[in-house]
Amino acid sequence: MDKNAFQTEMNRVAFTPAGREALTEALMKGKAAPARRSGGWARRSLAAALAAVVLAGSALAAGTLWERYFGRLDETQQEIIETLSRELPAAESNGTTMTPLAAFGDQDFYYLMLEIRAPEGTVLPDYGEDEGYYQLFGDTLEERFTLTDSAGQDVLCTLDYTWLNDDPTDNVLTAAIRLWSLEGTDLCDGADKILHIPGLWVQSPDKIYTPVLTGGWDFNIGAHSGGVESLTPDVAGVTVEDADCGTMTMEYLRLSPLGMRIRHSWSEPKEGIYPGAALSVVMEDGSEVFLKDTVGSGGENWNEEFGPFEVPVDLGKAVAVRWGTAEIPLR
Amino acid sequence: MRPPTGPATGAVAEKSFPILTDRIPLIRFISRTARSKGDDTTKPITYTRQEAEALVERWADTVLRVAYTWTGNPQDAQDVCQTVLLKLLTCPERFPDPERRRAWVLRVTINCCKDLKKSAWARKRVSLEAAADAAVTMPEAGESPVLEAVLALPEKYRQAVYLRYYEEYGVDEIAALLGCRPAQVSTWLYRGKAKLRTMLGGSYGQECFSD
Repeated sequence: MDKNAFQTEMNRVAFTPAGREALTEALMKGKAAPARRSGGWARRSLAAALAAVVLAGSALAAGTLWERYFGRLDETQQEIIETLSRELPAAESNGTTMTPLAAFGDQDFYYLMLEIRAPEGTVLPDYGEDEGYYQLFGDTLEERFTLTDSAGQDVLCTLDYTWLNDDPTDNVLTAAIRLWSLEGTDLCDGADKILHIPGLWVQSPDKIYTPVLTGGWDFNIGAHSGGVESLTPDVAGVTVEDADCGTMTMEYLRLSPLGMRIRHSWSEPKEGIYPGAALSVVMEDGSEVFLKDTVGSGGENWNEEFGPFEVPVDLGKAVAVRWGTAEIPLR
Repeated sequence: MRPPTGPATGAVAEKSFPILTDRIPLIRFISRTARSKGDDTTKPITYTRQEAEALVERWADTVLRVAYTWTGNPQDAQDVCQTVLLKLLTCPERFPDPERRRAWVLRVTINCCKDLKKSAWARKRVSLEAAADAAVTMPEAGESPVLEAVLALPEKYRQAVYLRYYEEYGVDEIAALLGCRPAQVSTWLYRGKAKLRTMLGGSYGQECFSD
């Protein structure tokens, strides 16, 4: 018996032809299923013209409104949001009006609180997790949620959203949507960027999509945004030693009140090891603020990632960024 | 492209994602409420039946074997297989070479096996139960003494032995896949092989798992 006996015996564990067929069928049924990561938005030209729009929404109470999403916000945090907020016109299609109640963003993130008001007489119940949940897209290419620039090219983004509590007996839902710019496109550079919502679906626990409201609702989030001041501190010479990969060098750092982006490299690449160091913003009172979550890309000897803070941060009270054993002063 | 690195806020998070792939941006999705906890609050990615069939043909057995080794249960292994293939179908990653792709698949499979214990996971599967009985072939008892001995090993030993002697990874690669130190892998292999020698007897066990 040679060492391949184990391989030979293990090779007997296999799908039967019927099993393969069943697996393929299950995959086709579950094609909208598990995707904790998304591949970004499909390449798709903007097909629908801008819907009829009605100016609505107000930034005046934006800070308070966003407490529905962020939880309790102090006065400074509310001011930050209101500073970054812009008005967006509502859009109407097939009798349903989607109204941006509030919207704000920076280079990497865009937050949109959207009220969806279906035609009178429609009821948009709260299904609860066990029965299904609302999605702002369907399960076909034509039913995708997209962001495109003025040339009709897709701006690669991903999104997450939260349904805010509404009356389950009426025709209104409210969503807090957050977009993440994946390829460095500035979401708030003032250039046109059309956010297209194809409708509202209910997705059952077994991933069946049922349309509730269909049509086309478009929002030009770029043109209605303004430039946002970010901090890009000097990181020349900022290094941290890593036990496995030698010297890590910070190459880029950008902070805004909404999040942080960092790029670093290392001197001794090792297969399968991607070193990093704890990253935080150090505040005047000595407390530290961390990113809530990050999205990243990386190569053999470099990594870039970015993520939002859990709540907006007053950078006026930030004194440094801490990266492992290094500290980058902000004042 | 690499897996999301988790919060860039601590060494634990960084070390918990050995990076096995190339360099296309990855995306992490965060759900915040019960109603948006569905896995695909991000956009769905469509694929064709042909793509699904090709993926099943290429990876189903590989994933099944890893999952069977990890879970010890054919039904759980099938469920893991379905989940992993769905991830592959909806995954935007591209790989510079087949080895990196294989390593990524194994890593995802291992993670899915860990996730198996989470109750929410089971709720979101598309059931294969209807076809479960006829879906896979398994050796009869007594028919595969080496496999049976491996499956009888403690979990860590079993996993290390599988990756070393079935997938033929080196110690460092196994450490990266399992998120541990190479020295630990060496220890698991040493002790696992010692147990196998005892179980399989003398030179039989020695020859089966010689380097």
